[in-house]
Amino acid sequence: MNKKIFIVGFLLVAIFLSGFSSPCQATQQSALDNAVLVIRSLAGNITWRTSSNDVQSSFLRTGESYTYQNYFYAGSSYFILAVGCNDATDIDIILYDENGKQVDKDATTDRWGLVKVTPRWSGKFYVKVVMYATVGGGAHFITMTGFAN
Amino acid sequence: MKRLNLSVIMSLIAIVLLLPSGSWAAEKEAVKLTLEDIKVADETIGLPSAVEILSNLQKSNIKFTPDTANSDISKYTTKEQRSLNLGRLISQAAVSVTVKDADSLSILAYSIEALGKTFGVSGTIEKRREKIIDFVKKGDWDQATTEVVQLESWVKQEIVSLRNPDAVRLANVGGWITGLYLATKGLMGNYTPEASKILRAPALTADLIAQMAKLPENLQTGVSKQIMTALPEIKRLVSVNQEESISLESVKELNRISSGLVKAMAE
Repeated sequence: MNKKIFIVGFLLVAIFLSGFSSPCQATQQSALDNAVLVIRSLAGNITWRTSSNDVQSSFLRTGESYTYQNYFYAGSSYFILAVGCNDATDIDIILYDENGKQVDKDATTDRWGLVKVTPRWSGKFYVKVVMYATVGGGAHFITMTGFAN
Repeated sequence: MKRLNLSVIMSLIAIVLLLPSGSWAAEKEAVKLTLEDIKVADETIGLPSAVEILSNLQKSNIKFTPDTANSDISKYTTKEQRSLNLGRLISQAAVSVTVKDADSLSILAYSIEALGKTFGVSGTIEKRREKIIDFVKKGDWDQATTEVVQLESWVKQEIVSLRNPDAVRLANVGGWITGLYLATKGLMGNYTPEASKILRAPALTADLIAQMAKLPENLQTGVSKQIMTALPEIKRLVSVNQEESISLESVKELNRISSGLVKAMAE
C-alpha cells in the first residue's frame, strides 16, 4: 500500500515537472491568429504599427515576463495588446511611463490583455508582458501597438 | 512509517502543484518594473511613423502641404543618399496620406518602391504600392494610412533582413528629421503651446545620436556628418520637462536646422 502511494506521488510529481520541459504545443502562428481575432473584435479606428519594435513575439515560460519600450506622442491614444497562443491561459500586460510609474494594467484571467494610454507628454513607455498561467509550462505571445488620433 | 510520510507529502505536493493555475489569479502580486527590465528594454527604441505626428498635429488645425519635389530618385547613387532619401520620401508620403492627396501619394509610392528595389527589396513592394493606390481610388483613406505605416515598417525590415542595418539607421534618421521639419513648419503657421508638446523627444534624439555613432566611418561623411553635428543641438531644443511646451523660438530654430538638413539630403 505504502509502495503504491509512493509510486502515485512520484508519478504526479514527474507529470508536473515534465510540463516545464515539454515543448509548447501551440505555436507562434496560433498567437498571431488569436491576435487577429482580438484586433477584429476591437471597435474604433485604430492604426496598428507593424515595426519590429511594436510587434514583439517570443516564448515565455509560466511566470516569466518580458519588457520592451515604445515611443508615444502626447495627445494621441495608444492601444497595446498582448495575445498568447492556445497554450496561454492567463497573460497580463502592464504599461509604465518613463519614470517607472504604472499607467495601466490588464490583469484579467484570459489569453490576452489590452492597455491604453493617451499620454500627457511625448516620451518613452515600458510595456511588460507577464505569462501568468499556461498549460504545458509556457506559451508563445505576440504584442501589437495601435494608435488613434 | 517514514516512507509513508514521504509518500503522503509527495502526493500532497503534487496535488497542490497540479491545481489549475487560474485559481491563483486572485492572489496576483503587483508587478514592478525592475532596473533589469529597463536595461533590457532600453537596448532598442521604436521610432514612430511620421503619420502619427502629422495626424496628431492635424487635430490642432495645423496645415500640411504635400510635396513631391526631389522624388526622382535617379540622382541618388550612394548608399547614404538612397538611405536618407528613403526616409525622407516615406515622411513626405505620410503628409500626402494625412492630407488625403492622391496624386502626390501615388508619385511618392512609386519613388519609395524604386528606392526600396535599389536595396534588393523583393517584388512584394509593388503589390504593397498597388494596394495603397487601390485604397485611395476607393476613397478608403483609413486603410491607405494603415498601408503607408505598414509599408514603412516592411521596407525597413526587408532591408535589415538583407543585412543592411546601416541603411535602415540612415533611413530612420532621414525620416525623423523630415518629420521634424514638416511638424515645425506646420507649427510655425499655427503655433499653440499645447500642440508644441508633441516635439518633446529627449530619449528619442539620444537614441538617434547613438544610432548614428554606430555607422561605419565611410558613412559618417557628407550629409550624415552634418546630421551628426546638428543632432546634439536638436536634442537640446526638444529636451524639455514632461508636460512642458516648446517655445515658438525653439520651434523656429528646430525648423531652421531641419530644413537645412532636408535640403542637403534631397539635393
